[in-house]
Amino acid sequence: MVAEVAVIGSGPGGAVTAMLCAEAGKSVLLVEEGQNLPLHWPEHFSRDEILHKYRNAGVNVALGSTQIAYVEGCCVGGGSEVNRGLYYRTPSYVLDAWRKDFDVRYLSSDELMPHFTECEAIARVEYLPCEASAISKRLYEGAMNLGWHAIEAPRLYSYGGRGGSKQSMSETFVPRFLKAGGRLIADTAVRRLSRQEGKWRLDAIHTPTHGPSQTVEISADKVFVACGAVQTPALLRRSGLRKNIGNSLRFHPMLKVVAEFDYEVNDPGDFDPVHQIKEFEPHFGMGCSISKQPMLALTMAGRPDCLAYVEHRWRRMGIYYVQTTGGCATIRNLPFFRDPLVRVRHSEWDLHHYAEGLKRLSEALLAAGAIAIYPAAPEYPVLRSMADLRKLPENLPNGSGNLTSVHVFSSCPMGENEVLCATDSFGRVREADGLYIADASLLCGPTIVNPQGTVMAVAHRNATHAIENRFA
Amino acid sequence: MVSVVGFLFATQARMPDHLRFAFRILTLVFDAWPYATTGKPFHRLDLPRRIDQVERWKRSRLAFRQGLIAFYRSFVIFGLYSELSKQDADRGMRAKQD
Ligand SMILES: Cc1cc2nc3c(=O)[nH]c(=O)nc-3n(C[C@H](O)[C@H](O)[C@H](O)COP(=O)(O)OP(=O)(O)OC[C@H]3O[C@@H](n4cnc5c(N)ncnc54)[C@H](O)[C@@H]3O)c2cc1C
Repeated sequence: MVAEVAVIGSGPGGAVTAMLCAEAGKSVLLVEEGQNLPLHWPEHFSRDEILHKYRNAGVNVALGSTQIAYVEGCCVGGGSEVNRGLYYRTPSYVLDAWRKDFDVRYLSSDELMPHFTECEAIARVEYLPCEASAISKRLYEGAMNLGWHAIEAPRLYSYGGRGGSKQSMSETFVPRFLKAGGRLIADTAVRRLSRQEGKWRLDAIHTPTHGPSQTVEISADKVFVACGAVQTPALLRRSGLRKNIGNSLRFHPMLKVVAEFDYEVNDPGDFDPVHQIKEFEPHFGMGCSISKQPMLALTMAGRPDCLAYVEHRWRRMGIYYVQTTGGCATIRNLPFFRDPLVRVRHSEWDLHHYAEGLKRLSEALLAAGAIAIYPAAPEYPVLRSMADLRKLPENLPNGSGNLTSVHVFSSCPMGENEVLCATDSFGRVREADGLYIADASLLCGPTIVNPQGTVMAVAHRNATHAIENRFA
Repeated sequence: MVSVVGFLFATQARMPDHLRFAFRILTLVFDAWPYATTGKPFHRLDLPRRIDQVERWKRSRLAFRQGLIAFYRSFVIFGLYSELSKQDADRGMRAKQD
């Protein structure tokens, strides 16, 4: 297969990039490892969804003395198909720090703004048109009772029509890409990149659901790698590119709790919760998770004696999380294995913020009227009062389980600081002609807020820059 | 729709290959563990003995034993409750539309 531009990975970074290149008149091939499935199948948060739309069925662990279990999407649209689409533009203090520490040029809030608005014109961002769910409002009320700053987050969601529709990539940028003449090839994993006679050669394996695997060779003048923050460095390292690649993977690790109220808060027909507590950002933020029965049971899995309780009382329960910026990981390929090894380290500061965040979250929930709080970390006791919170440890015990993350980034940061950065300020890989990174890997550090808005805007900015400069 | 056991197998088949390799070995060790004392592998034990072995591994101070049980427990629980939740969601949506 031949194309002027090949984009590897169809998540928010890849889909935005592919659409812009196709609309600029380039012949573009978008290559995606996962399947091309409808947005509404399999059902959201079902076990079929985990098997069909998540990488490795959701089983990914950053190994270390304190581990982080993380998940990523693996289907056309990537993480945008399975996520909740909570949406933010990047806070200006985050961009200021990236410019200062990584020397990223032209990345102020003002400079990024047109890219946010252009993305938001295609993937719509809306606030709930009706009252939020009771689970969501409880968190907000807890914050208000304590005088803390809390907000309702908008989502990449169009609420019009029956049940509304999530503004995932398969509903927004990918259809526009196809309309502009782009070609999409799903079920196809690129295994290695190499340079041959002035062009990039992509060695891939096409694995259709029914039928045998076959090897595919793709030749392209320019390549954008947008495989997500773990797979992008794995692919580049496999292809012999290593400078500042895969050394600095960051997360938004979450600690979850189940809060029990003495009245019903959990209605299976409710819209997803949207309230978040901002009082302690950038150290940690708090929010509500999907609290369907399987998620409640999973969060309580470390307390098996409580499971029967969940079955009877789940309508009075909600899942809440505190999210920090702890942990820094490396990504390395292992001989004879396909999947990369991710190893994470935590500082004392990280462990302190996990513990502090858990206390503050519990405080908000008690202020919201919770009668019991069950931390997912089984070594923590059930919490029923402020006196219980005062007895909690100052630091999360090393080796404590149950840190999870749905946000991964920063494994190949962009910028002019050559000691830290894998690419220039616009995502071009140094010392590799016509090779770009176009996904969450480029972000210089945690976004503090939900990251997809930043991933899309940065991809839009960088692809626009490449097109305007004729990929020079 | 896949059964819970089918879900577990499917999950195991998709997990990162280096973890899968380690889990397969651990699962074999787990199954063979009671051989020395009972002459039978785990999958041939009666229910009380199986529960006893699971409890021992769960409470073990060895992280790999705890990890194995935590993995199976999480996925079995998620698989089981997934179906329950679907029924509840359908009922909830219907009630909202009525
Ligand atoms: C469960 C969940 C909930 C989330 N909730 C939110 C939220 O509410 N708000 C928010 O802002 N963010 C959220 N996120 C994060 C957000 O989805 C990600 O930040 C975003 O998807 C990252 O985009 P990306 O393009 O970097 O990578 P991805 O979305 O991970 O896309 C990468 C794509 O590349 C494909 N790929 C990988 N390797 C190869 C290869 N070798 N060959 C071909 N294709 C390949 C993958 O299959 C995948 O489809 C959530 C994520 C998850 C998983």
